[in-house]
Amino acid sequence: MAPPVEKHALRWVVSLAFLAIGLGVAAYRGAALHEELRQYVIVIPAGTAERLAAGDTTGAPPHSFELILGVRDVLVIQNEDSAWHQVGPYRVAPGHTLQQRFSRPGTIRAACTITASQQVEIVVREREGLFTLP
Amino acid sequence: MVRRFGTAALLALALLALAACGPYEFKGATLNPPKPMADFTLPAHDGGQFRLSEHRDGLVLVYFGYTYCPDVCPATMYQIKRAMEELGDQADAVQVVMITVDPERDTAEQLGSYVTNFDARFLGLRTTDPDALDVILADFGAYYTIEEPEDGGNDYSVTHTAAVYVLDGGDLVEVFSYGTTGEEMASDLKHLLRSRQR
Repeated sequence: MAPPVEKHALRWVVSLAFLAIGLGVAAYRGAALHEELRQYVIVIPAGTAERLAAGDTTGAPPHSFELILGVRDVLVIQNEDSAWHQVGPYRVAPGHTLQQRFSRPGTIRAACTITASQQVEIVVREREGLFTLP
Repeated sequence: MVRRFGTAALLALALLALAACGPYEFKGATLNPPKPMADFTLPAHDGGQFRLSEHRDGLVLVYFGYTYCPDVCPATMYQIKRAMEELGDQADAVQVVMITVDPERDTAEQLGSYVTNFDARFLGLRTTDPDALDVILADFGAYYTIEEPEDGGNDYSVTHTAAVYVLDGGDLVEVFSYGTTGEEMASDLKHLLRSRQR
């Protein structure tokens, strides 16, 4: 049978371990919530479809553009135009906002109605940092 | 000493519970605001009629595809099947429909055989009226193009939107891009079903 002093010490160690785990998970979660705030917003102004159809590419990305996003980043496409728009695999109705959170790395190359080249490349990478999220 | 140990353990558990809380993270692309969809009625493979407005009490998953599709359609339908399996009893609140974009070759019988091969509850919808199909596709922001066969025969492919549309109460709320797994779909669908119960 262990002496009382050793038993007390063991209880303290276990208690501190519990606390450390709890604080660690809370800190990790807090970091994750902070990371969630990363949003990449694309606003498609009214008249975009008409301007591009008329050959006016003012303000439109001239070539394929690359969106470099981290895992868990959120792509927001806000369509203020009166026409549907497509950014890669995402088609957004007029007056609507689409949100896509990315859960794994990858590259999407697809059609796009807001670039002069009508192509877009979305690159999703693991972001490096203290808290590399799953 | 025992009381201190208990307090520390409770504090740690409370922190763990707090850490587990947080807003739900959708796996698919969500629409804000949800897009109200025009009602439509299409013949179903089982001889009945599918009317969208009759399914406002649950979720409806809409997929545009065709049975001759060599890769994208079977892969997507398989993931939807996985999602339904993952949902278990909750799958009863979800109606999956595949609307064919190749009604020429997809007979009602073939379409029925195709969709029910994935899940007996799935419905295949088919119209031979291209204008009616175009109206529905336009409302979803979907499209299809029948490619010219190289030999001029009947062996053509159809380029089409590969997304899965999620309707909640008749509104388009979410879109799953091609590649979304069944588990990811099920997670979002469970969340949507939970939200309906609140």
